[in-house]
Amino acid sequence: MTMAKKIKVAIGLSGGVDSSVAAYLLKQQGYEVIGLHLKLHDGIDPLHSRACCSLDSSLDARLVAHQLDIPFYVINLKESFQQYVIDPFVEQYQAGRTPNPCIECNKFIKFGAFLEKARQLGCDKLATGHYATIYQQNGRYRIKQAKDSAKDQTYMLYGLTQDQLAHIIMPLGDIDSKDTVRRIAMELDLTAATAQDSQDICFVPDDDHVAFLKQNVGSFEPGNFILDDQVIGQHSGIEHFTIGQRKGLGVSWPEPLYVTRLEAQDRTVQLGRAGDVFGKNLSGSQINLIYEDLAPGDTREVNAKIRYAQKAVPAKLIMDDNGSFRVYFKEDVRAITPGQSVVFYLDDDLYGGGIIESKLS
Amino acid sequence: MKTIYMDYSATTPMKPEVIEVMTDAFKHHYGNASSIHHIGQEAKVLLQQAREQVAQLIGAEAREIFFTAGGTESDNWAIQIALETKPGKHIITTNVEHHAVLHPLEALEKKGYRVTYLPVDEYGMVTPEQVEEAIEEDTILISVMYINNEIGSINPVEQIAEVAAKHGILFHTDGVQALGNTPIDMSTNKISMMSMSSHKIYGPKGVGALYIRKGVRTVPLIHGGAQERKVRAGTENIPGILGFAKAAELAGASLDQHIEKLSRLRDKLRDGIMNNISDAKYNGHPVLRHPGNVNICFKYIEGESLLLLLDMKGICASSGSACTSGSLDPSHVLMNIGLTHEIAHGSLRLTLGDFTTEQDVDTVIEEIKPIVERLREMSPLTE
Repeated sequence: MTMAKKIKVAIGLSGGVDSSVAAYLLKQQGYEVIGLHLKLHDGIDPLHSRACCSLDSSLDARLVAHQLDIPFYVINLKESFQQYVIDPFVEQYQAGRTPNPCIECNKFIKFGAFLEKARQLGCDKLATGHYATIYQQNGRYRIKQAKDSAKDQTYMLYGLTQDQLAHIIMPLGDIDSKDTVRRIAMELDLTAATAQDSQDICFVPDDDHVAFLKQNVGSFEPGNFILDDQVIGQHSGIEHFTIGQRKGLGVSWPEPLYVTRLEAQDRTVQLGRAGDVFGKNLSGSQINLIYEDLAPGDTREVNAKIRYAQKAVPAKLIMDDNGSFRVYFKEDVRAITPGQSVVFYLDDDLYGGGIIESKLS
Repeated sequence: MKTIYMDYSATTPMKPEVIEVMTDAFKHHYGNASSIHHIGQEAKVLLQQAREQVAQLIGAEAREIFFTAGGTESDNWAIQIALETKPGKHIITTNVEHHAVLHPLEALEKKGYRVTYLPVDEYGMVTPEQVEEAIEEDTILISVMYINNEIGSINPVEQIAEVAAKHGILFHTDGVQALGNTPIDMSTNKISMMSMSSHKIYGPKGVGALYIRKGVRTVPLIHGGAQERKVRAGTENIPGILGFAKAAELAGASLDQHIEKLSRLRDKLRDGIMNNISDAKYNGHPVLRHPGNVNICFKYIEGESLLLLLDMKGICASSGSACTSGSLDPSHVLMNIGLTHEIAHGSLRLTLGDFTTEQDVDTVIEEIKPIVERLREMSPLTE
C-alpha cells in the first residue's frame, strides 16, 4: 500500500504478541508508527505476574519497538486509571455489584486519555492489538467480530463512541487466527512472540480481587446469609460474592446453594437453589449503540450475552429513556449480574451494549 | 534527523581523550592493584596518579579522595560515616536534595533518627543562618547539596561549612552537579565530605568518589577488602577510575572557558525561550546558577508530552531529574520552591555541555515554540 503523505499512527504496545504483530502490520501498510506503552498502576510484583501491565511488559514492549525500529515511549496514566477504573471497581463491589474494569478502561483510558495523548503527540490514529474490525458504513463507524471468533474482543469495546472510533485502527481484525499472529511473530523473531496471553484483571495481583479490595478498603462489613427469608448464617462481607456463586460461601446446607442477590444497604447475601440463578429478563443503563441510533420506545431483535466468554442468545432489546433499556431473552440465561455488561450483536456486528442494573421477573 | 543532546545533567557523553585512556587501560592495565607482581603494581601506580588528578580538580590532597561506584554510593557512604562515628540522632538537610540523600535519610527516620528538612526559598536555596538555627544538641550531620540537579541553583556551601565547623558537626555536600561546573577549592573551605560522579563530567558511568577531609574519621560502607585504605572494599575499577581522572584533568584545564561558554549559551537559550513564549516561568536563581542549566515551566501543558514531541525532533531534554522519570508526581524540588501542582507539571529542563553549539541553541529555540503552542491549543487547562 502506498500513501501520499504518511499517516502517523500510535500503537499501544503491551509487550505481548498481539500488539507487537499489529505494530508490524501497520508498518508494512506504510503508516508512520510510534509505539506507546501504558503505565497504569504499580500494584503487581513483576516477578510473579504475567498480567499485561507489569514492569516486565514495558521492557518487552521496548524491545519490540527496537526490533521494529519505531520510536517508543512510556505514557503514564496512573492518575486517570485510579480515578476511572480502580476507584469505581472498588465502589462497585462495595455496592454489591460485580464490575467489569476492562470495559471502563477501554472507554476512559485506552480510547480516552490514551487516545487524547496520542493526538497531542501529533498522531492521526491510535491502533491496538484487539481482535475486532472497524469499518465504515452508512456514515457510521461499525465494529465487526474478529475472523477468529475464539479471540473476539468486541464484548469489551461496546462503549466506544463514533468520535473515538474515527481515530482507532485494529489491524488484527482481519487475521484468521491467533496462530497466524504467533507465526508472524516467530518469523520476525519478535522477542515478545513467546509471551503468554494476558487475561486476568491487570491491576489485581494473583487474580485475587477479594485481597485487593481488602487492601483498598481496610475491612469489610459482615452481614447475614438469607435463604427463603430466613437468616441461615453470617458472611464476612458482600465484597466476597458475585451472582451465581456456589463455592466458598462458608455455610453448610443439605443442598447446593447459590448467591442470587447482594443487598448493599443491609449487607445481606440472598441465597437460592440452582434454579433460582436463572432469569430471562433484565434492565440496564448507560446504553451505547455502535451500529445505529435508537430512540426511546424502539425495539430490536438482537443476539445478546451477559458474560465475555459466553455465546450470544436471541433477545429483544427495548429502549427506554436516558440510556436505560430492557432485554427479554428468548431462553433462560444464568446469573444476570448487576455491574456486568450486556452486549448486543446483529450477525457479526457489534450492535452495542450497556450495564446490567437488575434482573426482571 | 540530527540529535541535539540537552540533558547533560542526567549524564554526559565521554570525551575522546577519556575513551582513549580507558581503551588503553582495558588493553594493557588489567592488573589487580592489590597484586604483588609488576602488572598489579603498575595498576597501583596508575590508581595513585588518578587520585591525584581528581584531587587537583577540587584543591584537595590525593589521600582525601576515595573512589566509589558513583555519586549515589558516595552520598550513602557519607551518611554512614556520620552515623557510625558521631554520637547523636539528629541530621539536618534540605527538602530539595537528590533522592540519593533523601531516601537514605527517610530510611533512618524509621530507625529512630530525627531529620530536619530545611525549607528552601523560591530559588531552592538555604542560608547559613537557617542551618545554624536548626542545629540541635545531638546533630551529627549537615548535608546540603552544592548545586541543585533540577534547577541549577548554587547553595552557599562554603559558609554553611563554616557554621558546621564552628559547632563541630560534619558537613557533607552532594557535589555531583558542581564538579567541573563551578570552582571548588577544598584547601580554602571547611567542607568535611563531598560526593562526586564521573559520568557528569564526560567520564564513564559507574565511577565516582567521596572526598573525605583528612582528620575526619572514616568507616567503610562496603566491607570485604583492604582497598582504598581499608574503607572501601572491592577490586578497583582501574579503567573507570583512569577515565574519571582524565575527565577531571580535562575539566580542570578548561574550567573558566567551560563556565564562560556555557553561561553565554544558557542565557541565550533562556532569553530565546522566555522572550518568545508567554506564560512561562524561569526556575532557579538568575545568577548563582549552574552554567548549563535552564529550567522553565510552561503553564497549561504537561511536561511529558513536551518531552516526547521534542524527542521526535531529535532534541533530548528532561522534565527534571532522570531518576524520577516515569513518575507523574511533580518534582519535589519544584513543589518545594512554591510552585503549584499544575505549573510544576509543565516543567522542562534543558542542560547544556561542552558539545553544545550555538546552532543547537538556535534550533531548540525555534522548535520549542510551535510545540508549546500546539499543546496549549489541545490542552483542557487553557479554557
